[in-house]
Amino acid sequence: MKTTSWDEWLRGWLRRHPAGEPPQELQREYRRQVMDRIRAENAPRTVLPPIWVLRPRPAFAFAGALAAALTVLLVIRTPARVAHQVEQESQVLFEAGEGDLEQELQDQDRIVLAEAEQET
Amino acid sequence: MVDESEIIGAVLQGETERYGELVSQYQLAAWKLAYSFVGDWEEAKDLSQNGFVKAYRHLRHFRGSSKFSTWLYRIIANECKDFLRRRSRQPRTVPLGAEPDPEEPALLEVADPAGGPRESAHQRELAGKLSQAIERLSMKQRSAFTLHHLSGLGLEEVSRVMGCRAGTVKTHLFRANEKLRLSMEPFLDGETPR
Repeated sequence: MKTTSWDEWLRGWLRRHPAGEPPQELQREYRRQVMDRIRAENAPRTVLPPIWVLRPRPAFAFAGALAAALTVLLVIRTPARVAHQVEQESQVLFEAGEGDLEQELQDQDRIVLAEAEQET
Repeated sequence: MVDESEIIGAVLQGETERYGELVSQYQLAAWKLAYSFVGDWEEAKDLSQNGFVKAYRHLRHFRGSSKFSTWLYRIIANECKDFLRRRSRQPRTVPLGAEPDPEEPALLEVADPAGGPRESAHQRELAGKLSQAIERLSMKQRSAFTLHHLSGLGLEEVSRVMGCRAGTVKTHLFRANEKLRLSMEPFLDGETPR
């Protein structure tokens, strides 16, 4: 087939068989879908800005600082207090033990002395 | 007739909803343009819609030296070319020399012929072979052929959409025609130009 006749044939064939129309059900939603995407582009962002941009209220800032200070105090003080309490209790127990032992020894001495006096 | 520049100005001033007027005006042409590249209405819808959204995003950069439609078609044609490149890189499992899957979307459709089922089958076969031949063209030849012959754009508009001179478009069209003629010759023996 020569180029000229081919060209004519091709143009004729494409004229007789034009690309159809998109399905009606897809056509109806086309504009809405595009506009939904465009509205989404313009919607305000939900990502939180950095903390320094938020400018917290003084009351909230004060409460936060106080809570942080108390937590720090508690964390530092607690081990020291526990150590002190353990030491005090062990001292009391030690002293109580010593007292009992002394009393026992004294009682023992009294019994031994009384027995010796009886023998003499 | 819609005053494009007035609508674009309004959209840029914040009246976003007015962009819908441009969508309504060009949606069918844009969709058909994408279809002429990819041969699938669903895929063409996604690609042309992407084109509308990208055009909106860059509306501020639209200088107005050409028509909005030309600029939009250029964006959509680029979307389609990217899509075709991505698709061509995907591995296919169809064995070499296999017949095309009749369910696979063909680039060209056959209008119901008056000649009966035999003529209909013949025309469908031609459409399939021609679609395959178009798909084998280089991207530039295919773009020129698609925009001019399938989307019906004039040479000047094709050149603006493709971003080259009208003379270059003519060269692409000539080479595309030659390749298609050689590809189709075995199937057209005896067929007379109608």
